[in-house]
Order: sequence, then C-alpha cells, then structure tokens
Amino acid sequence: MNTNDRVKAIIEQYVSYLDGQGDAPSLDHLTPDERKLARELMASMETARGMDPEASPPSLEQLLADSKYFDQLRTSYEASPTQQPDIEEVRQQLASLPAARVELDAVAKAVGVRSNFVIFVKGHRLRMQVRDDFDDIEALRAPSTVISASPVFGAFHDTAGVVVSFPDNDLSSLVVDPFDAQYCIEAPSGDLKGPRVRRPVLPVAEAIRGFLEEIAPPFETIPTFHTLEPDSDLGFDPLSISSAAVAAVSDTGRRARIEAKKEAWGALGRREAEAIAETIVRAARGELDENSLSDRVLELARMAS
Amino acid sequence: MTKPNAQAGRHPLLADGQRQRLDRIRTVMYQVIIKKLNHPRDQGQERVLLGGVSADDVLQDALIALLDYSPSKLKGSWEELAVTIARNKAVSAIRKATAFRRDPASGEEIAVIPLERAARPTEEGGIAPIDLLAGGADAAAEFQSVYQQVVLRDLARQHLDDRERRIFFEMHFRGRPGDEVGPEVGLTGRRTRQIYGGILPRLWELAKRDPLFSAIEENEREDDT
Repeated sequence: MNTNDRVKAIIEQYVSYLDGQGDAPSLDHLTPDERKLARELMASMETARGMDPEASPPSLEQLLADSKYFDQLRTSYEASPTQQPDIEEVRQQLASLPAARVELDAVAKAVGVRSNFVIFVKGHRLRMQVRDDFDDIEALRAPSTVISASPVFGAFHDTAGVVVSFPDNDLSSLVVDPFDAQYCIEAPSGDLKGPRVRRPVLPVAEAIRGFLEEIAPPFETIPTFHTLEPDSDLGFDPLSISSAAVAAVSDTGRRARIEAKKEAWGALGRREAEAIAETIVRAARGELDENSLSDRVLELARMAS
Repeated sequence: MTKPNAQAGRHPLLADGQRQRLDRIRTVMYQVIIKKLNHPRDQGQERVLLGGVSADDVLQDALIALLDYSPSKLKGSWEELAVTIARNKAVSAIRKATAFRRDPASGEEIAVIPLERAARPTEEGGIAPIDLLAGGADAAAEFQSVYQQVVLRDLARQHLDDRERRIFFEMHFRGRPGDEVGPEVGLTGRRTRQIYGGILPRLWELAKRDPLFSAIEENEREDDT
C-alpha cells in the first residue's frame, strides 16, 4: 500500500466517522508526512462543511456602488495595466475596418467580467480583452486563453466573438467564438475535444476581418433586372431567355439517370421555347393577369408532357 | 506603476495592484458569512433571513466596515480583520432576524475569556485590552482555510466530471452522507465514499500549485509591511 492508498483509506474512514458509521481513524501507522497530509485533509473537510459551492458573491462594483469607495475602486481599475492600450490606440488599429466603432466596456466592469472594449462592426458586437498579464504572444495560442474568454459569452449573450489581444505594436489577437470553449465531438473521428484555438493569431484588424468573413461571408452582388414599361418595346429578347431556360432543362434531362426523365426532359427544344417566349411577351404587355398567366403555364406544361 | 500622487488618499486595499487581493477577501468573507448564516442558495435563489436580509446584504455591510476601518489602527493583516468583521456582521444579522424568537429567559450570550486573550502586552511592559476587531491567529487561520476551500471548489469545477463533482460538492461542502448521495448517482454509499476519498487528495495536490494556497498568510503579511 503506497502513500496515496493509505491517505485515501484514512479519508474514507473519516467520512464514515462523520456519517456516524464507525470510529475516527487512527493515524499511528502513517509516516510523519502522511500524517500531516491526512490531518490537513481532515481539517479541510471540517472547514468546508456549511459552505455553499454554488454561491458567488456580488462584484466589488455592485457592493461598493453607492459608497464613497466606488470612485477609488474605479480609479484603481482604470489605472490598472488592463487599460493599456488606451481606446484611441485601439480605434487607430481598427481604422481599416469599415464603420467599426470602439467603446469602453463599462458594463463588463460593473459586473466583474474581464472585457476592456466593445467593438461594433458590420452589425456584430465583439468584446475585447487586453491580456497584458501574458508574458508573450505565445500565451494567446493556449487553450486556457479560450477558457478565460468564455465567461464573457455567459454574461453577454449578444457577443459574437471575444477578441483576446496581447498589447504589442500590432495588438496581436485571437478571436474566440462562443463554441470554442465547449466540449464537442469531432467529426469524423468521433473524439471528444476540449476547448481549442481554432484561428490564427493576427494583428487585431486582420483577426477581426477574418472572423467576420467566417461568420458573415460577403455575398456576390445580386444582378439587377430591367423592368418593362407596359406600352414600350420589350427591350429584351424573350426567345433567347426562354431558349436558354429550356436548354438548361434539356441538358439536365440528358444527364438524368432515370430513363423517363432523360426522355421527357431531353426532348424539350425550340417548340417549347417559342411557346414560352410568346407567353412572356403577352405577360410583359399586360395581356395576361395573374390567373391567366398561371393557366397558360399549366397548359404549356401539359402540352410538353 | 502608478505615480505616488495618484495613490494619495486612497484606501490601501483600493490602491493599484490590490484588486485581486480585495477580490480574494470578498470571496472569503462571503463564504464565512454564508457558513455563519447557514443559509445556502436554494434552487439558484438566494434565501433571506427574517426581515429580508440576505448574505449579499451582510457582505456589503461587512466590506464597507472593513474599508471604513482606519489603516493606522490595523493590527495583523486585512485578511484577519475581514474574517472577524464577516463573522461579527453575520452574527449580528442573525440576532436581528431572531430578536423576537429567542427565549427571553436565555438572556444575552456572554462569553468569558481568559485574561491573556483579553489583553496584550505593551512595549512599556504593561498590558492593554485587545482590540476587539483584531481577530488574531484564529482569524488568519480561518481566512487561510476558507480560501483553500475556494481553491478546491474552483479546481473541482475544472477537473472533475459531472458525477465526481456532484459527489464532491454534496459530501465535502454540504456534508451529506455517502449513503444518501450514492443512490442519487447510481452508486453504493461505500463506493461513493471511496470516490470521495480519491478526489480530495487529488484536488489537494493540484491546489498546492497555487502559490497562495498554503502561503497566503505569509505573503499578505509581507505586503502589509
């Protein structure tokens, strides 16, 4: 029996004793070091009883809110190194991001959550933690950095990401999303993965830009369509439009694996395109109301089949 | 480092670089108060004493009293004083809440203490009454031991799985017997006690990596000098 086993056995016996089963354990057979450890653990068990492991006290800001000490507390916090860099420096670094706005995170201070600035950009709200307690930039790549960012998401559900920054010249940053700190099952391996760093550490503006492209990718410009004036010339070629549409359907049909589909869709051609073009012209000139247009489309479909 | 004039007139616990220390004091005071009031949270809701006073209210009262205490009168550390004030404020809150429920025949509680505990030797060779707010060695030890529990609790949250954490919290903090907790997690009472017996030394070893876990008293005393 090694030290661990002997101390474990003492703890089990002591728990039984506290539960009213059996006598208090004897420590006589233990070595002096084991005896010291066993005594510390037993004292710890007695101290812990009655404490509430779930209770968390209000923040210092809440406790001192209406007292004469509140200003001193705020001054102390603002003078602390976590306020480096100042807000102007952050704004300057983010100048290249379109319409980005940076504000001090006063609410986070009030509730005791570590977040120095709020960044509003492209309709998203990011919170920025400046980690001047890190010795070097490498600390940003540790999973513990992700874990320390996660309370921000718990306190502020509207946060899209937490920008964890090291106060160097570029404000090198890692952006953390709400799921990075969660345990997850990785596909396709099926392994359980703990908190992880999923993005590169980059200068702050680049890091945010990359994150925004990930969560809100830019869409291609939607093509504009010409609208027709009722009594003017159409201004477009209905036959080419309908021919292109019919050709696309016909091509799909030729590639189909279902024989009936291959035969039916592949047979569509000029005749159908002309009939559709005629309907387009009539609709564009206002000769067909919504119901008659619908009837005409159904009629064409029946004819094609 | 802040310029000296920025520190002028500020409470030592609110000076630059002291926030973590004040946070630690707040956390320990809170647990001391909860333990004294013996009213843990129920289903996430904070229970209140008769009259509407909660542990949060007592903590606020105690913290302000701590900051109101003149630094020039401080004997020992702020941590010792914090524990003493927290205890006293909790007792005071209980007395107020139970004022009309106590047996009038029982009278006021009066404790008799030995002379050597009620007085301290002066430099001139005489004796002077102790400062009642200076908690002495037992307050320092209580701060230390309660802080250790806070460290263990945080480590349990980080390192234990759901079942282990439940066993640990229920048995270690809530003092529930293994025979009661075991069936709730699908185990026998004996097996539950065995698991608890393995968890506590494991967390204790991890906790020793926290430099404040076993040396907080010495560290803070050095800070005060």
